[in-house]
Amino acid sequence: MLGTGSFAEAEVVLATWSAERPDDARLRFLLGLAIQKQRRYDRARELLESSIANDADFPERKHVDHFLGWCLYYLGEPEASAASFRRHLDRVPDEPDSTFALGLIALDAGDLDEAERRLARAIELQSGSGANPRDFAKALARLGDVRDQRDLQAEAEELYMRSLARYPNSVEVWEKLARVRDRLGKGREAESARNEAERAKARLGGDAR
Amino acid sequence: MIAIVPWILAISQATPAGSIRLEDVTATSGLDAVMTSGGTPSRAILEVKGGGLALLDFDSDGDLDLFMPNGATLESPRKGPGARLFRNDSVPGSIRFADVTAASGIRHAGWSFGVAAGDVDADGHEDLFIACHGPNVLLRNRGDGSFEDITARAGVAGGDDEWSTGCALADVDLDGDLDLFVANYLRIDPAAVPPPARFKGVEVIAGPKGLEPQRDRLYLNDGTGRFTDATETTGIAAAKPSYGLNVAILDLVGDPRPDILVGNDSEPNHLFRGETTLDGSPRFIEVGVRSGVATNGEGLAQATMGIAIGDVDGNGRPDLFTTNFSSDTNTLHLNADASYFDDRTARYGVGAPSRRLCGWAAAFLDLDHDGDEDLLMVNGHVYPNATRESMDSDYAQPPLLMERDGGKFLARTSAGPWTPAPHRDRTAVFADLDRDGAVDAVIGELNGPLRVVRGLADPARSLTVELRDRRPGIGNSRAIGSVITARSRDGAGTELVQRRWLWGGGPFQSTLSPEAHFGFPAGTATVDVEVRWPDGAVTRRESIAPGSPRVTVERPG
Repeated sequence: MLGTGSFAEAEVVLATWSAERPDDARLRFLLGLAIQKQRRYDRARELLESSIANDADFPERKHVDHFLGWCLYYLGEPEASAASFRRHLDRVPDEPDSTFALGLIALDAGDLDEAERRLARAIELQSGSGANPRDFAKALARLGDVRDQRDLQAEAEELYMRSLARYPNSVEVWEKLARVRDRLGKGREAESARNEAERAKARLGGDAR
Repeated sequence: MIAIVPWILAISQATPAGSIRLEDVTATSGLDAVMTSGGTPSRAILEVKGGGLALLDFDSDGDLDLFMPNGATLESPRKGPGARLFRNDSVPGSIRFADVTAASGIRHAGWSFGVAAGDVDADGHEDLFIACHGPNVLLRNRGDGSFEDITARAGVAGGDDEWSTGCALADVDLDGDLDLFVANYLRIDPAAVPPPARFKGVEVIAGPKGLEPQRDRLYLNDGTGRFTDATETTGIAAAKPSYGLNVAILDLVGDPRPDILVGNDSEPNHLFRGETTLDGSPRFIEVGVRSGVATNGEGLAQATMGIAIGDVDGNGRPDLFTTNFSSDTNTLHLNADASYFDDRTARYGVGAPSRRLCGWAAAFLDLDHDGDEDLLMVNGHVYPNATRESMDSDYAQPPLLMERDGGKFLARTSAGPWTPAPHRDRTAVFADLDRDGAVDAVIGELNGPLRVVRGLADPARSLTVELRDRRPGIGNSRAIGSVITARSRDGAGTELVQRRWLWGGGPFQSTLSPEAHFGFPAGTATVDVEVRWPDGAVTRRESIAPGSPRVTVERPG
């Protein structure tokens, strides 16, 4: 169920099993993962932290800090999040998504040099065969953000376009592309990007918010 | 790929103790009022917004009094417990209010949301506009402490089926009187609560998505308090109806005609740029998306409840801070070059601490008198079933205090004797209520008592400036739309330039204080004040000592 994205269903099953075997660290990890995927980060954090509390070992142990890092990020705890991603990279050197996450956190903090270094590395790591196009696209887009914040709008435009070529469903990147085009005086192309953003939005769903 | 990760970002720093000192003085303030808004727990979106507050000098004695329009309930939506008016009887160091509702003759008891104060008929007395579910209300201040309902002759009731939220009085056509903008939210029948929606897999109160949004309205004043609905003729109607919640009217693009920012819930915000037409009539072009304020930097529409305005980056242009829903962040849009706003939320550290919060009223305030503006905002979830486990966010939430420290805003968990405690807060107004030189706050909680928080900053390092335009026929006597600049040098000789905007609207469904408050670093000897009036005229006052009694700058004739 986790593999097919049926996270709510997986949560029900894993919660039952976990209640029957409360000392099973792996079950707590999997339950935390199922909940993290449903964007309930506080409960997921609790489970992920408890899964590694007593130096428990299980096949996915080396990746727990990665998921914990994203929980902390979305709970508004960037320093703890960065520490978690760094621990993950200690266990899994050059893991692309944790490298990307550290680039994102640096970008948020305004450390553009560090952001550029981490994001460029994430792109490099994801450029091999088998890379997920969406992950590759988001790293390109964030590198575009770095260039935009450096007032290099033409370079940002190019990176956003490369990102969208990999993953055209990103409303956010279409919007960013439109904005840098506005700044470059490309009004018609900006409108075109905004129209694409609307099309992408129509393709995506959402809940009450 | 290891994780499916949403692309929303927000980051900031942790929260050490700071230099801001505040204290809760509700118990001794004489303010005894509960802000009604439906039942507890809330069952419909109509119940969750709460109402606003207005600071006005209704008795013309020089201090700021308090008005609460108050709400109602689903069972009795047109007759709630009624509005309340409190006279300010404070002395320096002691905030005191007296309930004068009965003497004022105010009998309004409709379900109220936003409130705007201003002298709509240019008779020298501040009046009150109340945005309601159902017909809106305009109360004229007779000047003897009492008010009369002049809604019908003023022509500002709006539609019977409209739910009006934020509202603002400002001179949008620069003819000297106060015009009126009313944000409208959505169509809802209190007797027919919509079926629940889902959020993070949990059944929750429905809306706004899925409910019918309503068009905002702009009314132009003829100078006597009679208004014409100019929504169509001014171009406002050209914008898509979009769950309007809050309004700010000021010159945002530097041209210098007033612009109108409307915070829309879950839809792109509108920025109506004021235009000059050949015949001099006002016209607005919606430029929200192009300007960058329609959404956050990720291109995502946010909830946009609270609005605060300040010069965060010191470039002399008004920057925008908006409060948003939980699992999102509050947003800081910097006014880069009068055409574009950049989302610099994370850079200034105002995003991450807000992730667990559902934010409402907010304001930039120099709470520690160090020469930069801090941030204070009130919070509380809309879903009564919100918990950390189910939604990463509790129903009751503490106010968020953020102290400016260099290039960052740092969250503080206490401020001297004041420790922010969890509430279901919605609105707040901020001003020096007791004239002791420090900014105070009145906070409104959903179905909870109003609270009063007093500032304790050193009065010797502050200056409060109020503006008066007493020219005959000028209704905008508080000079809403003015920009006040304070120039000073600290003990080391470093120049400090600070700006405040007197804008139409307020922190959330409320009226901004008509006074500008400044703080200064230690060693500041004198301050030069420059006022740019709404029509562009400039008045200067030089060599004012910090700690002086408030400065009133009069508009030359």
